[in-house]
Amino acid sequence: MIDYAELNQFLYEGKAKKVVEIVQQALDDGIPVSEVLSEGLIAGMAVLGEDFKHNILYVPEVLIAARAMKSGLNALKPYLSEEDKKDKKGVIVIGTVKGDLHDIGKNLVSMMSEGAGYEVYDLGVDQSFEQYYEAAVKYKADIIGMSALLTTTMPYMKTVIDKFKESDLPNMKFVVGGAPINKEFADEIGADGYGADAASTVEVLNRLMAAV
Amino acid sequence: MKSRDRVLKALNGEETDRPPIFVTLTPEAAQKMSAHLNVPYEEPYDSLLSTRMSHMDLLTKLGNDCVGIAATAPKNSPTVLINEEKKVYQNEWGMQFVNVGLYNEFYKYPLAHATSVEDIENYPWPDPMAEGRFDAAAELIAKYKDEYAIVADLETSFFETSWYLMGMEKLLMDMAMEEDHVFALFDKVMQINTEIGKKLIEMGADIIWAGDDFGTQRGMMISPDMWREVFKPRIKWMFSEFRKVNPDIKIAWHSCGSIIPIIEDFAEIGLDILNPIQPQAEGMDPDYLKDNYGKELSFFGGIDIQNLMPFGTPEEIKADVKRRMKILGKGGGYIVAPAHNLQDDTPVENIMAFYEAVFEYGEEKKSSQV
Repeated sequence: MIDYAELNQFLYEGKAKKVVEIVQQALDDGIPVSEVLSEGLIAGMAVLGEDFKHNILYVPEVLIAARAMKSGLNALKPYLSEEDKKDKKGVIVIGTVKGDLHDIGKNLVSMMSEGAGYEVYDLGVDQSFEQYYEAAVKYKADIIGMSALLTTTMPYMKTVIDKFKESDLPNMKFVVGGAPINKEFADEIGADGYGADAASTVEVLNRLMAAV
Repeated sequence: MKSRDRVLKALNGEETDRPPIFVTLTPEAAQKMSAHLNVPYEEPYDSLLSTRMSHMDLLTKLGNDCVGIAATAPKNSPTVLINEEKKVYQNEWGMQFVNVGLYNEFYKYPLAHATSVEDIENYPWPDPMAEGRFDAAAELIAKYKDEYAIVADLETSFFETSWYLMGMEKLLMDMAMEEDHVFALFDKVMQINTEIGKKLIEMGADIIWAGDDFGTQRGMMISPDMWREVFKPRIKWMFSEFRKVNPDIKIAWHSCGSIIPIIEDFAEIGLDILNPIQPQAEGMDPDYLKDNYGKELSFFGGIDIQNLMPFGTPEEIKADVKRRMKILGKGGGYIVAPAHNLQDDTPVENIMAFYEAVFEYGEEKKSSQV
């Protein structure tokens, strides 16, 4: 038997060892991987995301929980069948734009999206159009996420979007976020969504994927 | 009116001819402005936050009422280029930065390995009183003290300097897990910087400008409860140490982002001036702040650099600066300034528009009183 409430709670508290222990036990007991993933990890991260959005949890707690989630996912991964992998909600390629090396917000979005059931390819920081494009082709991305902290680097988001429009992936969808970014800027540069924080970004991704 | 008197009066809650000004610039912005004014470009000092004490000749010519001072790297351990190809620099704290054009970004955190209090204790810490650390501050004081208010910068007081040493994610996680080495690190950095702050006050600073960023664009980075448990008592101690040197010292705290839940706490432990009132951060509204905290606190900053200064027109800048001076400067208690260093993306005419707005506001105020 697996107690999902308990697993959710350990995840919430960031107790990585406990999370792995319970996940491993569930898998050993023959509980379907997809169930452990959705009821245990994704459901737990959803609560966390809500509480982060509403200032009940803050960055340190979310970082610890995200680490626990990663440990849990890593324990699950070897058991995921091709069938399970098809259930993913979408493919996200994410990175901080060229000239900008700030990544805490981007990492939170990356971890929350993964925790919400997306296949996430985090390219890291300082990413050019070419790098986003290559990754989009390679991983068959549904959505590209771009982050910027600096007012001097945020204009590059528009460059990336414009270049995609001229490429053979003109319908690529973009979600942008970062401290100086707001809804108006996102609209102005032709992004499909604006992620105000990690939890809202997951909601934006869900909305965009539902429209696909 | 002397600049220094304007600053001190405003901070004592008196109306002045216009709010005092304290702009700071990144080197690239300073280069542009020096060329514009046709004055020699002053090289920045070798200091952790050198923007706060550099280019003061240029800035006072532009109209600043405050002059920034700070500790610099001492004679025997200046910041050095350790990898020419990758442009990696190492400072006296052992932090390594890589130059990425307009910014230095962290390259290596020297305490990324730390897991115990011993790791902190055994680290080769800088000596706060090392020879040459206060030479630049002494020169700046000698040159400007009569005319201008002296602001001793002590930002990145201990939280930020600690994560510069350990890496932010590790520090935040270890702190949330209540690992002892994090608190040992905070205490060590805080002691070093408090010594430096006390020395700068003793040398004649009018204002001590301490700070650590606790806010994000959307709210607190850490919970108000954790802040009250970990940071508030330490900051309170720092403030009391500063007042032992000069009971009348004005204390400013810098925290970027939205920090609404802890402003009252800061007032309670004796803060005088809140900086930088980042306008686009959630809830940092000038009317709200002046109405709720205007009796206890003065404000310093408040002009948006995330959109207005780099991307606005001179007319938009003038209108916004005047509006904010009217609100935040009512009955004194306001140093008008951009919410951070102006950088290369801000056009010269926008920087001039900021200063012109303040001077025009003074003229308009004078003529409306006649």
